[in-house]
Amino acid sequence: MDRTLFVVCLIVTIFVGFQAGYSLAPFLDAGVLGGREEKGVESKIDDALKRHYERLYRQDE
Amino acid sequence: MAYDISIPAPIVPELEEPRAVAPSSASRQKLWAVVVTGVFALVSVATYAYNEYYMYLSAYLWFGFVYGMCLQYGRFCFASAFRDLFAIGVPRMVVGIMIATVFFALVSSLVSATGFSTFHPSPSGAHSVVAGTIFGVGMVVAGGCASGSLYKAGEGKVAAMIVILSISVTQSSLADVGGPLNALVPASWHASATSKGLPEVLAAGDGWLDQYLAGYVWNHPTLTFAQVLGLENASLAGALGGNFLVGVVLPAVAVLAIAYVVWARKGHVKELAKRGGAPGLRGELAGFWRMVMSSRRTAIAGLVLGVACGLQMFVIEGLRIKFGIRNAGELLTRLGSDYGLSVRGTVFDPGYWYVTTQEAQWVGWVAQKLGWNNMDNIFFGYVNGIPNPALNPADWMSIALIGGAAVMALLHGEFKLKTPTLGQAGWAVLGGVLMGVGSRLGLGCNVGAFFVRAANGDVGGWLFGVGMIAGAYLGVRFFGWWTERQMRRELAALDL
Repeated sequence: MDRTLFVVCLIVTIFVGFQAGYSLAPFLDAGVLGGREEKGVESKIDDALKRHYERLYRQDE
Repeated sequence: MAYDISIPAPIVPELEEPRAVAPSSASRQKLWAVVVTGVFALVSVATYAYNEYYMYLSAYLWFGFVYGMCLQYGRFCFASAFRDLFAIGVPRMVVGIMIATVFFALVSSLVSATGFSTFHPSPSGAHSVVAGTIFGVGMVVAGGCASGSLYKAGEGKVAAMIVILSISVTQSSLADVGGPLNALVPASWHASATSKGLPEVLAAGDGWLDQYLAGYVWNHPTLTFAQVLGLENASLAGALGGNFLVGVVLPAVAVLAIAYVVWARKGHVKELAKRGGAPGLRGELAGFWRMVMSSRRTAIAGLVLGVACGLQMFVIEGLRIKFGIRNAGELLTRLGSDYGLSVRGTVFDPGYWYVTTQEAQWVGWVAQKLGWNNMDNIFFGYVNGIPNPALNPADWMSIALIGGAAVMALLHGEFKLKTPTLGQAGWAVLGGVLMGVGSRLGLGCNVGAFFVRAANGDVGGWLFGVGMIAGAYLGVRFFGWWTERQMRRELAALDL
C-alpha cells in the first residue's frame, strides 16, 4: 500500500475507532449489551422546552 | 451549423486503475491529501476540546470522510452503474452496489436486533415508484446520482457541483412553493392535511409539498419485511431473518442473478466454449462468482461502505444514549444555537448515511437569511429545521464526504478541476432538477430512499429502487435517441 494512503487510512481509523469505543460505553451503561431488563434513556425534552421551541418559532416570524 | 451533442458523461466504463501522473505532480497531490485530512483532524480535535458535544458532529464528519473515500475509490455511482448496464451491458457497478447493500444490511440488522437502530421506515406506496422513476431519469440526465455527484465534486468536476446546487435549489424551493401549485392539490389531500392537527404556523393547507406529505404520503403504511412476516424489527429473528435475509439477501441475489443471465452469462459461455467446456451448474456458479469479483475496487469499496454505514448507526446511537438526546437539535440548544430549529426543536439528524436533505438545508438557510420564510413548511419547519450549516451534523457529513473523495482522488492522481461545456452544464441543471423533485417525492435520494431503506428491510426502499432502475433505463434510451438525432442533424448540415 502507498505510504501516504496508509497514513490517511491510519488517521481515519484512529478517529473512527475512538468514536466507536466512545459509543460502546453508553451501550454498556444503558444495559444493551449487559442483559439488563430496562434499557435505554429517555429524551430530556420536557414541556417547558417544547414551549420554548414554539416561542422561538413565533419570534422568527 | 455546429450542434452541441454533449452527453452528461462518457458511456464507457471508467478506468479501473489510476492513470499515470508526473512524479512531481503526484508528490504535490499526495501532500495536499495529507493537508486535507489534517484539516478535518484538526477541526475534530479542536471542536472536541472546546465542547464534548462536538463529538456528535465529528462522528458524522469521519463517517462522511470514509464514505467519500469509498465512493471515489470504487467509482461508486448509481447513475454510472445503471447506465453502464443498460447502455453497454457492464454489470460491474451494479454488483458493487448490491455487495454494499448486503454488508450494510448485515451490520445494521445486528444493531437493529439490539433495539437501538437509528433507522425508521418511511411510508411507502405507488409514490415511491413514481419518485424513483423521476429520480432515475434525472441521475442519467445529470451524469451522476446524488452521492456520485458529491464524490465527483471532490474530484474537482464542476458539472457535479452544478448538479448538487441544482438538486438543492429544487428541493428547497419545492418544499415551500404554494400559490398556483395549490390548484394542483386534490381536495382529499387538502382535507387530510388540514385534519392532522399540525401547528398553525406551518399552514399545512398551503403549499404543494406540505399537502402531498401530510395529506397523502403520511396516510400510507410504514412496512418492513420483518413486519410482513409477523416479526418484530428489534429482534434477532426479525432483524436477521426478516429484514436481512428476506428483505435484502434474497432480492440482492435475484438482482445479481438477472444481471448474470441477461448481461454477463453470454461472455462467460463464449469463453467456456473456446476452452471446449460446457456451462453446467458448476460452470454457471463459477461465472456468477466471476461477475461478482469482476471489479476488485468496486467490491472492496462496497464492502467497506456497507460496514461503515452499519457502524455509523451504532456510533450515533451510542452518542445519543451518552448525551441523553433523541435528536441533535437538543445538542444545538445546549450549545446555545437554537436558530433554525424546527417547531419540535429538531434538526435533520438521520443517524446514518444520507445525502440530499442537508444540501437542501444549505439553500434553505441562505434563502431564510435573505428573507424567504422557509420555516412555515413541513419539510423545514416541522421535520428538518434549517440550522446554521456550521453546526448542522449532516452538513459535516456531506462536506467530509467531498473531502474524503478529494483525498482519495489526490492520492491516485485523479484530482483535476474540470469545467463542463455549456451543454453539459445544461444537462447537469436539468438532471439536478429531476433528482430534486424525485428526492422530495420519494423522501430521499438513491442513498436515503433506496440504499439505506432497502438495507434496513423497508419495503419502500425496493419500490423506490424499482422506479429508479426503470427511470435509468428510460434515461439511457432517451440519450441514445438524443445522440442519434443530433448526429443525424450534424451530418445533414455537413452534406449541405
